[in-house]
Amino acid sequence: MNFRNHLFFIGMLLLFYASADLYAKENTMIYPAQNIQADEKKVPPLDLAKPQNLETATFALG
Amino acid sequence: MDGVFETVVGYSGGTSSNPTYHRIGDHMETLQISFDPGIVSYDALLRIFWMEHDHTRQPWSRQYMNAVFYHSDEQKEKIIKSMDSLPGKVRTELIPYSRFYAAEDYHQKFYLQRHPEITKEYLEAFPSFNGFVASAAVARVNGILGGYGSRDWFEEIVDLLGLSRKAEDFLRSRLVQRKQSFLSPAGNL
Repeated sequence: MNFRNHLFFIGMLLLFYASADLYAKENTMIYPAQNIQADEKKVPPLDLAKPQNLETATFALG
Repeated sequence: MDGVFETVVGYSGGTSSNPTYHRIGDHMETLQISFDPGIVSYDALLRIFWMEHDHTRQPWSRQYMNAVFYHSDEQKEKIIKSMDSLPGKVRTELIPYSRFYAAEDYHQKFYLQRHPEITKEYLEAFPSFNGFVASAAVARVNGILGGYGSRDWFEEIVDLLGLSRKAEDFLRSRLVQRKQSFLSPAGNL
């Protein structure tokens, strides 16, 4: 393997790692919910009073 | 909006199973809301839907199409009636609802998740992330951070949001900087 091939190989490797890192960042939640200790006593009053029989609507807004 | 209790973003209208942002297939990016028709009518939601997009626009791609999905014959009739009153050729599609796939966590409550301290307060209240996404209080705060709501409306609901004084003051400061929203507290235009 000559010097040019080495450079090409290293370049492709760096590109692969950069893409994988970007993909991982995009698919990670912005805030790490799994590290939060939930306390149900803190549920907002609005959610405690939420009606049960809700209707559903679905829209696509391109 | 008063009467809207849950908002979830996701994918609908396609045939592939379990779509994701990177493998959306023939689905569209959609918003699903749960509302109390005794407080806000479906017609009021439709009026906002038509205001929020250009119904004459040719879609760039299926992913970014404009469409309204009907869940019942009653909704279908209301959509058709509202479409008839629009000017120009309506390119927004009317589609029977079949299935909704929630989008990845990092897409949910997009504006709120950019404020880690407020997000943390709500994540402490809900045992699961699904609970956070389905929260009515979280939906309202996300809306405020997204640019909606008025100061008067905020003062009416602030005690229901379950936030710390610091978070409330931060939201107040955001509303002061903003001109009056086009939405009234009752959700009527």
